[in-house]
Amino acid sequence: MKTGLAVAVGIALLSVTADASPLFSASGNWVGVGRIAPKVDQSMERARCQIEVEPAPDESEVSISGRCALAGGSRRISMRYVRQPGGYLRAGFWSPTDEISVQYGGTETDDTVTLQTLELVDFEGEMYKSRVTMVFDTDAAFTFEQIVQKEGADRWVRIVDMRFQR
Amino acid sequence: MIRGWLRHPIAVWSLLFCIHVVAVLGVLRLSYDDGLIRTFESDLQRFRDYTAYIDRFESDGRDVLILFEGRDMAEPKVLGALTDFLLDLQFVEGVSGVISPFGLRVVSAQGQTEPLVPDPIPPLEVMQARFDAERATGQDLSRVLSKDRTMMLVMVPLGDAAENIEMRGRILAEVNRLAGSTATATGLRVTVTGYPVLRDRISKAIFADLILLTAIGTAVGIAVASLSLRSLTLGLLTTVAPLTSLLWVLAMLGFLGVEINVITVALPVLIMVLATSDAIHLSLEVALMNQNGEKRPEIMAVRRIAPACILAALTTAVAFGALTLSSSTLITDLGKAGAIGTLMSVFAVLVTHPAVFHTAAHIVGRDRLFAARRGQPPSLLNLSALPVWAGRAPGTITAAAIAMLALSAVLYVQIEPRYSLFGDLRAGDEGVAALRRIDTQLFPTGAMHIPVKIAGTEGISAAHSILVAEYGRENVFSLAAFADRAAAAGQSLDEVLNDMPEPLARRLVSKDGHEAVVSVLFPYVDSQDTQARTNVLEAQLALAAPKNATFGRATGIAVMASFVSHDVLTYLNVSFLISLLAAGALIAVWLRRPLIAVVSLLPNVLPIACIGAWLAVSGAGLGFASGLALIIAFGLAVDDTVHVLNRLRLAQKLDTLYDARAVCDATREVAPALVITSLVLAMGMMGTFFAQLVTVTTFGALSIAVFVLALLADLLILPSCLIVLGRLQLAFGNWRMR
Repeated sequence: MKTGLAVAVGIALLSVTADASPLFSASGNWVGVGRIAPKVDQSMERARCQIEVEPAPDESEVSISGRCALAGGSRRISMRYVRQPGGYLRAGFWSPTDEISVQYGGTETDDTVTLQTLELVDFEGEMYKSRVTMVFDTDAAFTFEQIVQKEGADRWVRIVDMRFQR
Repeated sequence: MIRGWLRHPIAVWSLLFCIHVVAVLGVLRLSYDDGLIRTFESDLQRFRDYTAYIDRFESDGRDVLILFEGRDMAEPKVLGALTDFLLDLQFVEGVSGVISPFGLRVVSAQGQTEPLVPDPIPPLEVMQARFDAERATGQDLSRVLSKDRTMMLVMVPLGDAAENIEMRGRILAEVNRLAGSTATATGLRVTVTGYPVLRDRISKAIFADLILLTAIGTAVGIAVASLSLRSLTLGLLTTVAPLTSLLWVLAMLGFLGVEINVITVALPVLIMVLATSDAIHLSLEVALMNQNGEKRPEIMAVRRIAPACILAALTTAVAFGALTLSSSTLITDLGKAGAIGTLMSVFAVLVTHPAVFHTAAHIVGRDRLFAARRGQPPSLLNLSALPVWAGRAPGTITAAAIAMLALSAVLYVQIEPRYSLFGDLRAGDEGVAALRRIDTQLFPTGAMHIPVKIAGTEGISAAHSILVAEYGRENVFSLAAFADRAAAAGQSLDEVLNDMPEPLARRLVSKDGHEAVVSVLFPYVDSQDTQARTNVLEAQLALAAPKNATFGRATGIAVMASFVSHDVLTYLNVSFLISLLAAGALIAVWLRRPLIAVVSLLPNVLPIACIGAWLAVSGAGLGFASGLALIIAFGLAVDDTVHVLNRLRLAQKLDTLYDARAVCDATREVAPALVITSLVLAMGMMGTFFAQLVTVTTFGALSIAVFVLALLADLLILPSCLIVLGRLQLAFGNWRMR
């Protein structure tokens, strides 16, 4: 469960780029409700997250840290998004508990952040691609979705579906 | 010194004011703790085993247990609310994880693992079937969900937060709030229990009891002093010195960092009533000296009474000092604080009392202060019949006392140490009652943990098998219990561990992965029962241990407490003997008459022996409260003896003890003061009957019993023994009573 949950939320919260999405100014505490799969090969369960978003003053990067919980347990998550030239984003996710680090790259528009893993990621001995989409409805709410695709498979599987509010 | 002290009243009061300001700062530094673990803090092997264990593994002594009851837990509405509760719970600061049925996973019909409680939650019948099927296949669900599904347990390991009183309090307040909301929303009954909860309850009770004991002690002190001196004004003036003692002692505890806990909570009031006793002696003497026409009765009173007060304080300090030899850090702290506090107290009384009375006399006038019969004890307090009886039949009374002492001592030496982790709480405490329900319907909450060095999993499996054969599969918990499940799911044990919530995994394998633990669960009763179980368990393992396994000694909070309490309580008897010898030696040095010192101990040892015999015969055994009460009350009870001997010394009767009339007269003369001081001691401790903590009530009740018996013994047995001693002097001619 650890790895899946960590990866799922980590991946999801990891990205944003150039067209000035609200993420880089979304400082403060956010509460998320929705569903998360504890592992990439398991079904999603009800989940809750609490995160703190800390953007840099010049909005060049943002750090997010917090915890996500399922009924059976919780994990700390930590991530950092950095704006790159040309409207690109780089993001890194770090789970202190699992010591897993995943790198993402992507783009941002005025309301959406889209990210994808830069290379295949080893989840539980299987290689996966991962995509994350964050959509800001307003400055006070956004959705966070993460899907993964096993190497060689056609189907994408959703492992995180959360909605955050201040 | 006192005369010089009283020549400069403004300087005196200024100095006292400054000291009190500093003292208030000390009081503000007071800290409170339940003392549940610290009572056992020692160099004893079992405590070292325990600390090593909690360093490496998650301890069950730090789990908050939340018990939901009253409805079928398979109801979707209930499960939904419990899911919300568990999600919220994990965001409470300090909560690092939860263990509940929601963490269990099952293999679905499609061969996938999924939560036992899936999302969305299926209808009632489906969930009932899932729960029943899971209960039938393994032990895990049985430990957190009752057979009829109307009781569910959520375990919340607090880790190190359990040891921080403030953080623990905050976490528990939030857990209670969330659990209460869930109970309201679902109609479930909820009880939050476990050692952290019981410890929190004890900590809060300690603070409440300290306030209660001090308030009642003060009120009783004023009342008894006023009645004894026939004047509210004299009563209030007399109580100033004991209140000063109280303030100084609390400040001393604050500055020395001695926590107020179940062991030390009664110390401040104890010292205050002791100070009240000294102050009443002084007030009576001031009145007497004033009546005799002394110009400075305050100074004369101190001169006459101070030696006895100081000696009495020394004997009490010695009793406390004997506790510093205990292996328990907490009892050692009590001994140090008690010894310092007692000496500080007598100093405070001797300094403050004359200053207060001198100033009052200056303001009001001595004649008015001691007008009519103010300052003279009421005659109903003299119990003069007892010394009269002593004078009539000293031999018979002495022989009876010796016989009673011998009989009591024989019974007392058979006393067994007794301790229970729940002993501080009242019968019917809802937290303890909930633990008992968990014991009977889910799993036994007591545990003996056996660390096993890992060199492959063979050692764990071997220990597990041995213990399962002896205690049953449902009562043995280890990594080996997961082997079958791992095999069924095609997983290794490492993978099984990796899938577990961290707090659960740390109950099976140490943080560094080099050791595992096999736990035997049992319904906790008390230390005697736990110690017996542990001895049997260790013997079984020693006999059956395979060569590839290295088993450590059994440990855990229940095991540690049972062994350490036994050692610490047994050693209290040694402390008592030391305080007895030291008190005798002090009296011998003071009077320079060793035989009188030996004889004078009889009326003080007898009450202790009688109460000890009763504890042994009644099966109550020797607990922390009773053991400490007997030692400390002995130290206080000797005070009365010292005052009787002081009166004989002042009357120059120590060399003519054969003169029964003189001995009886001296005893009758001091009797009112003794009755009054015993009243102060006994009634001052009566606040303990209203205390929330059982330990405090037991301590108070036994102390009061010692004070009353010691008073009777001092008025009846002491003069009898002294007269018999005097007659022996006559019978043996030149043999001096030295």
